[in-house]
Amino acid sequence: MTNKKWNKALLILCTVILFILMPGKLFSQSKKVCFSGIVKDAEKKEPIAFASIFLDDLQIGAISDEKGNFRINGIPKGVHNVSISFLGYVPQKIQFNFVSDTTLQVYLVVQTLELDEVSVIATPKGKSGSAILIDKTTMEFIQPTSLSDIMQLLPGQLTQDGTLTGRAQITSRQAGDNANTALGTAIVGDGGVPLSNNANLQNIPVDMRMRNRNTVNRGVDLRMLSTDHIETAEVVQGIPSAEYGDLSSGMILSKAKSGKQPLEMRVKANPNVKLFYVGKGVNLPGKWGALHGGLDYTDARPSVRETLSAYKRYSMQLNYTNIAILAEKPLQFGIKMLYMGTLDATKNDPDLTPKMDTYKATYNRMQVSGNWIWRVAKPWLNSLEHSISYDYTQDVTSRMLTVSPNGVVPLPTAETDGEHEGVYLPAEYFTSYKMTGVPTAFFSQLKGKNIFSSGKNIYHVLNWGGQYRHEKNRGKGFEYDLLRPPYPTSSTSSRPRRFNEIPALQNLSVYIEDKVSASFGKNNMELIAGVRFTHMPGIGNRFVDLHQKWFPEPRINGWWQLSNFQCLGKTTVIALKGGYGEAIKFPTLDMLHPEPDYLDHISLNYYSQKQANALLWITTKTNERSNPALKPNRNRKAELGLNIQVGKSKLNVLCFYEKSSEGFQYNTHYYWYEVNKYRSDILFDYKPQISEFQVYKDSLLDAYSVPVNGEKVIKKGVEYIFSTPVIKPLATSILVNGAYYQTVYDESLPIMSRPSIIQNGKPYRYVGVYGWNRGKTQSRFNTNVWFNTHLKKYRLIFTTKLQSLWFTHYTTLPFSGVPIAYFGVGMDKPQEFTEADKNDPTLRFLVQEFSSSFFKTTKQPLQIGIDLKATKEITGELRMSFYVNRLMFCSPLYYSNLNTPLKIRRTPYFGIEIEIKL
Amino acid sequence: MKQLIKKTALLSIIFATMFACKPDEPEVLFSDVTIEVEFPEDYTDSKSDVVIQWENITNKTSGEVKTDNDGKATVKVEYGNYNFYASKKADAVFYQGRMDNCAVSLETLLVEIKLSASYVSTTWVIKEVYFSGCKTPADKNYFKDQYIEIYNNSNETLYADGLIFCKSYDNTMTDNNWDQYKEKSEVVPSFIFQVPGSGKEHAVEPGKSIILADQGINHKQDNANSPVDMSKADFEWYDDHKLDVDVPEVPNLIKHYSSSLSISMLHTRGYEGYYILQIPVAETQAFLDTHPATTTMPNGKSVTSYAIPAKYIIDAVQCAAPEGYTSTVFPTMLDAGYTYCDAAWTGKCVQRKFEKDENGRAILQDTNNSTNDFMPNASPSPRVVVK
Repeated sequence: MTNKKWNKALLILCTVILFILMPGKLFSQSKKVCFSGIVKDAEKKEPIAFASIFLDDLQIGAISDEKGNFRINGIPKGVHNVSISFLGYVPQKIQFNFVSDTTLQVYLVVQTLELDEVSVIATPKGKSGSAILIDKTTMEFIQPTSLSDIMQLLPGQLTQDGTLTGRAQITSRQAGDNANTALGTAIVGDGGVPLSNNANLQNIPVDMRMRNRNTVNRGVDLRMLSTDHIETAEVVQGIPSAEYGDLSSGMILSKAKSGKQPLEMRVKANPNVKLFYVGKGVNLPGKWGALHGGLDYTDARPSVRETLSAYKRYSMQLNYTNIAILAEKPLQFGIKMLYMGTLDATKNDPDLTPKMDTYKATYNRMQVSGNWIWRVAKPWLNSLEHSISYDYTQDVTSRMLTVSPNGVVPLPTAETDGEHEGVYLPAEYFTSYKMTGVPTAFFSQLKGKNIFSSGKNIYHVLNWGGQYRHEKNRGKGFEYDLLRPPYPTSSTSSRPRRFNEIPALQNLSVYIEDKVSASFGKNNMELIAGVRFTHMPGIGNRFVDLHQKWFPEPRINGWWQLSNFQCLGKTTVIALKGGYGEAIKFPTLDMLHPEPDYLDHISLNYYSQKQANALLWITTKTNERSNPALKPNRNRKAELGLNIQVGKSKLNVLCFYEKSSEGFQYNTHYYWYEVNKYRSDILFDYKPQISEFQVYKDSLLDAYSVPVNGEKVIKKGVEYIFSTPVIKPLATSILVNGAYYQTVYDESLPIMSRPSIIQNGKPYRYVGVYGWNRGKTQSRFNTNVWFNTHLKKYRLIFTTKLQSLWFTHYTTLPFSGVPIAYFGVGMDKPQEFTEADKNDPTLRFLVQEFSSSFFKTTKQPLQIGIDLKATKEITGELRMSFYVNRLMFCSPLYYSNLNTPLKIRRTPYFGIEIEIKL
Repeated sequence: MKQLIKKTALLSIIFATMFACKPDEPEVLFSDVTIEVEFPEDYTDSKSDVVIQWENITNKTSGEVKTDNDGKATVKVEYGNYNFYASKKADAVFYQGRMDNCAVSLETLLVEIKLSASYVSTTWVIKEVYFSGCKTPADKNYFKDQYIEIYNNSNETLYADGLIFCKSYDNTMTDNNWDQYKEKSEVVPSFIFQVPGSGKEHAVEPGKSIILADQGINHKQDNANSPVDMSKADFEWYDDHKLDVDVPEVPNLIKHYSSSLSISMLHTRGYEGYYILQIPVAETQAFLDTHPATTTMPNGKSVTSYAIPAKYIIDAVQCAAPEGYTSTVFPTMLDAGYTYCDAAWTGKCVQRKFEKDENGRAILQDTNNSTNDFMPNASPSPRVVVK
């Protein structure tokens, strides 16, 4: 860690400590009050157990017990917002001035479409930061098939069809996509328990079928995550709290369903997917808490006619929650078990390929987590929270295939370096392979909260804690018969590999964050300042940039409500917010420990016409591919936003800038080596020995890919959300949201490449070093207008969404085509490429030429579509929904930068679902 | 009675009028097409007797007409799309030109055909190219038995040292990427293999040939369906790659250039052109270095190769789909037509036709027009001239 970074971190730490030590009556008991009460169902007047009572600005709360009673101690005197909620009911939000101990009876109303106000839009959460909250009603309304579908509620994201064909990778605040954004978005559940993909090694690059489901170094495939088990989801694309780590882009925070719930069944169908869900929660007798369970089964096909390949997902969640008393203080605890599995199988059409050819991939994942919160409510500690989880996955891919390597192909059989005799493969053979990955993850977090005030109307919520993670792949790895390799003709030689021999990945972090809220007259402000330090214990000392280093991540978010005045006869509120933060994603297991590169060079291929006389001589060389200079990916983000609220209409505008120059990717590394080659001028009429041949030396270039921090991504843009209240005569509220994104994808390291040709009798002997590799700038601007019409008399709500993507531009970054330097056989380092070299008959092959239109911008024109979504409650128990995406779609003809006429055509897509609640 | 006559008359009139009108037959429109031949600068012969062959692309009607003393010919043809081909033999020099896909849709039309000198080989000719491969008894694809046979069509002993065998980079069924060189009468190869030797090492008598094979083994042993035994091939093309084998009994060709690091093979449907030239081995690299070629592919990637001027090319054969080519890979002077095999994996080849016998040797037909000179879908018969 550089001095500069240490200084920055220290500065932040000092600022935070300063706040703590600010003058004020810190530990005065008399300034704290107690809030207690009972939560009941408004209609049945029955108590609601395990309802959530939360004070947003203080971030403290409680859950009600089996009798509906709750008690929160240690609330500083003053005005606070309280939010009382329970799944299935309309949340109640009250602003209350706590002057002394308060008791409240809360009545919650069941959520139905008969109510006056039903909200089906995603709303900004909190004051500072740019988190977006998606509640259950909103989630249900978009009829999702997986967690990736909820992303379409964010400004700047486009409508999703909800098919499960192909990986669902997260994109965030960008035009286009990249693997590092998907890898750098953390999926976090209750208690801060992450769902990670760091120890996933399941990939065989040459197997086409695996390519489509490969998520190594790409984060979690969101297709696997059913939304039916979760209650709310919060998406953070900006600067998250210092509490969350191992992420570079953002996070999705989900809260699992819990407590007593009616029996719920959901059936959904669209042209590709059939989904079934059933769930129920019960209160266990006495003080035994509540248990909620849910089962989901989803079957997806790429197309209606396709019966040979299918994607099946099944998941189950069991969530136990309870509240107990420990030393007279409430102890809220829970245990959750989440199981998910997918089955990916392809059969070959028996009429087309009579041979045995099967592919099967099964994925089974179980995560067991427990967490407890002890609401001590002492002046020196408000609450203590701990969570622990263990995540076990079994990922098995098995394949049986017939290999016919067109003609006779040599096969090397050695596992060690050196020269040895090789074997010729038969013209056709049957083989099988199996890849067994068992990524496991252990996570534990300890978190504490202190609340105090340091002046009139100034409150501090100090959030501190630490996390430890241990991830390892315990699988047997890639197994196959060495004498019958599945891909002998592939240009990359490989060997079987045991995953469980790879060292574990560990991550230890501590953080501290202070959330200061203050109000001065009509002005309110909030400042969240925190810093996080992470260390990778157990990382070998060959990784010089990771070994024994602590990486700081400062995170600051601020909010300032300027004033509260009257405008157009309505109360107007203007607020400014902004933030700066650094988020680090640590390298995955595959990046740290890629499998070695095996070079099998054919030194002699004496394929006599008399088979018995044939001699194959191989030189094997192993190259270590791990990169000792590998660093974590640090993403720097800044945001600035403006919120204006006039009456009940709100406008949020946010500008952001993000830059990451250390994104993970694989770059090709070239080197040259010397090898013995053999030839003979005489013909042998017996099988010769290698010593009977003449040796000569040859020098050749070879390459392998190395994991590096070579991706540079710069994201900038503006997001806007404008919402109106319900326009009474139309019973419609309008939401306008959208974004302008401009994203640059470029390289931060030089790229080596050479033409794949034989020139002058040999494979081309030079490698060009370039400062460019088809980097590009992509931008787009979209606006979504949602007309949410709620007809409570008919218990119907429908949305007409007008999505217009005003333009999408793609430009390849300019490049002269000339390399910066060149490297070749016999050279120990690259040499500068001069003007004269451009005309050299051999070096000219390194100069790339481009047509003049190659760097022109391709402008995709306007695309407008209309989507419809509707939900109707037929009875109190039965509800039906449907959606049509792109009921109408149009886009004009346009020309690409190469002058090809193109027209974007998109077909409508629809789905229907039925939900029963008993 | 009067009534009857009236009725009969009325009926007759009705019948007569019904059948009196005949539907208008579509008028067949003819056009007077004038073909004007443009002669190259060094043409000294008369302008008459240039044979113009025309063919209607849709209904395949064809015909022939000769030019007059002004180098013009006229023909009356139906409206439609036509290919015109002009040729004239003047001693050893053969002149030919084409104008493809002319739309004849006006009363008169002027078609200009440019003739260019097409030098018919006096030494080597390509006798047959076997690119189609075959199927194994297990119904798998097999192409290792591909070969090209080059025949000595002259009456003197020739030496194969330095004989170069290339296939074109461009494909006859897709858009061209190297047209700027074709217009200068240069051809860009996708691989260059050469027969080794100092000059007089590999003699080939008149009426004999050399065979350049992919793998010099008896393919009938490995694959019962293979039509050939290449164990006696003169040379083989060997790629230092794990997918190829080096048969020690058959000497290797020198591999100068290939646009790929993978194995060299012929397009199994033959959608390319094959050609031969001859340069002494020692001078070859210097020759290539002075003939660079660069182009940009549609995806923006730039590719470098070499451009071989047509005057060095001894013989060429252009192969395409049975219905015809989408784009030519050779300038017309090298090959004005095309030949084909119906499909890949059929075990058939394209074979040059026998013209006549002379003094005990067979002479093969060569008019630099493969449509006329080659037999499509022929059975491979290495070293044997099929009469």
